[in-house]
Amino acid sequence: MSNSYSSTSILSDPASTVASRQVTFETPERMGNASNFAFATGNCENVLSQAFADRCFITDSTSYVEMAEWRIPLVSLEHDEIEFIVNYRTHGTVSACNVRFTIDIDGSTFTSVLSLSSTTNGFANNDVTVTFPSGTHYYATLTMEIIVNSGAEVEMFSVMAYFKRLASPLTAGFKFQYNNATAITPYGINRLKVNQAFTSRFAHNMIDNITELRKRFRSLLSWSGVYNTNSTLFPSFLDAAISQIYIGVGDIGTLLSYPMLPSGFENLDFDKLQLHVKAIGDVDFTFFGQSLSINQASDTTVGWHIFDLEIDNGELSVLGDTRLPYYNATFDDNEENKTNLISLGNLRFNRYPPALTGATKTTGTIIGLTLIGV
Amino acid sequence: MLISTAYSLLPNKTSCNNGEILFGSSVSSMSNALNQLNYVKFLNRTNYPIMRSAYVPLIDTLGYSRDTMNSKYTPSQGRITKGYVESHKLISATRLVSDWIAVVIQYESGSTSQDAGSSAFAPVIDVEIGLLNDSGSGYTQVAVVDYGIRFNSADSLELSSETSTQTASSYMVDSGYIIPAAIPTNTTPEAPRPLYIPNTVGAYQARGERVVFNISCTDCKLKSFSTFDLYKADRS
Repeated sequence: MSNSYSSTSILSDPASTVASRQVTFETPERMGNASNFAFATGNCENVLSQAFADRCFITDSTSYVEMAEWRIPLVSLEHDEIEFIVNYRTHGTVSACNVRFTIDIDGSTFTSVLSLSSTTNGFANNDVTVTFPSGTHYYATLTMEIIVNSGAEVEMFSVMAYFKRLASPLTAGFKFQYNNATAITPYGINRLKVNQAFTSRFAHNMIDNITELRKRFRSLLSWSGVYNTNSTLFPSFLDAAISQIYIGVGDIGTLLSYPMLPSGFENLDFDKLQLHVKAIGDVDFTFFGQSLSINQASDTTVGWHIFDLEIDNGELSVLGDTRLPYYNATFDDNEENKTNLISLGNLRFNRYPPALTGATKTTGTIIGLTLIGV
Repeated sequence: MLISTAYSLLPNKTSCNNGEILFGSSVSSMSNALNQLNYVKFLNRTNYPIMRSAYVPLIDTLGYSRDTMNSKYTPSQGRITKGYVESHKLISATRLVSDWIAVVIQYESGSTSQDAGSSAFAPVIDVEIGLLNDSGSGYTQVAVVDYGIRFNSADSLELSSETSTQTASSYMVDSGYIIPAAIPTNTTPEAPRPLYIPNTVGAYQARGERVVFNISCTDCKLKSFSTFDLYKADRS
């Protein structure tokens, strides 16, 4: 018995089992294959995507400094290998430039270091295998740090990360998505071939599997401010190192994400659309039609906060030409955002994090934002 | 067969207990739900916001330091001059069943008082897909997967009407969802259409691998770039 899958035979015909039609064995066989395929490969795509232009993401730091931080959804507690790929270039004389990603899953941390040497426009990649701590986990926090040798600088163009899909066949035994409470049961494909019993267990497991897989989160928007930019080689403001750190009024209607909300979405009785926000101090804002409030211990407290978003049909607008009901989720064009987000009338005179300690000049700001949805 | 987009109700598990008569519709519901998972919910997508310099001439003029330029104060960053060019390499981990891909682009064009048809200012965005392969020393592009498409004023790109401030509005443009009847064979960018990933390119597997979207912009700036595996209502 092999819990295998093949991408070429995952379509099962719903019409083959309705009344007056003969049940063909291909249907349950393909259903088992489709279930294995969905578990092994579903959402094994970009969980982090962000790009940078205008030389705004550049650093000359000779010690590791935090440049950005994101939240990413996990695929399952079985998908434990994550790969990072960056598009970048170096400037100056390069001997030892690295980017270090640290993935934090409820306090358990794992690091991956990518060596950077391209002087034109190159890629660097590395992966890391994580060990999930016990408990329920559906997201991780990902921190990016960079170090360069003296005289060198690193300019980042784009960053992505994804969890590698599980190979076929899946290993034997129950699989768990975000906790050990509800199992996903892979199907032994040989047990679904012609003249095999069509069992009650098949149906029970299939309903459980589908229910669990519907809960799998996907990354819809990953945005982080870029915190510690600096350039000696390009000292002019016009040329480099003027990165965006805080969400501003210019992000209203322009920092876009596209949750897909098909019919039946509202009836799903589990977490299905979450906004993760990294903020300094307190801040009230409106996103996707919902007024959200962050209250923290002090003006210098930096933390992530999670909001379950509801669908506000009055705020929705369909994104055209993609054939599916993708909607446009962004900061709303309203007075709350215009007042509270950073603007020329609401400036912050310091950059995070150097001025953070003992200062209130960075408070009331959003410095990281991730939208995940099922 | 038709692929339902909806999260339909699943059968009651008790209807599948031993001793119960299992109606075909129960299996049909499960089959529908699996097809929805693999061909709707798990369709591949990427969404790249493009961060740009937070430099603001006004803040600079007022004498504030670099530390004050730390946010996005307007929807537009402007500063696009005639002949401005930029390029981007945005990576996507594709699915084993990815084939036709729609792209949705947010961009900011240059400023001119000329009509869009004028040669004075002609924004162009080219999108090509390359295949990345890591043979042990890191990823490099080993093949062109799709020579891609070109957006220009004749195919949807708009110009700003502002002339004095060099600020502009954000515009959206997309490849559309009409899947061509034939696999593309162009070797230079052609009119907008969905992009295509074949199963293999030369000796390389393409579907399920990492690809890079090579994007070139002239007379305009990229603000965000999103891709969507196209939903097909009818599959066989």
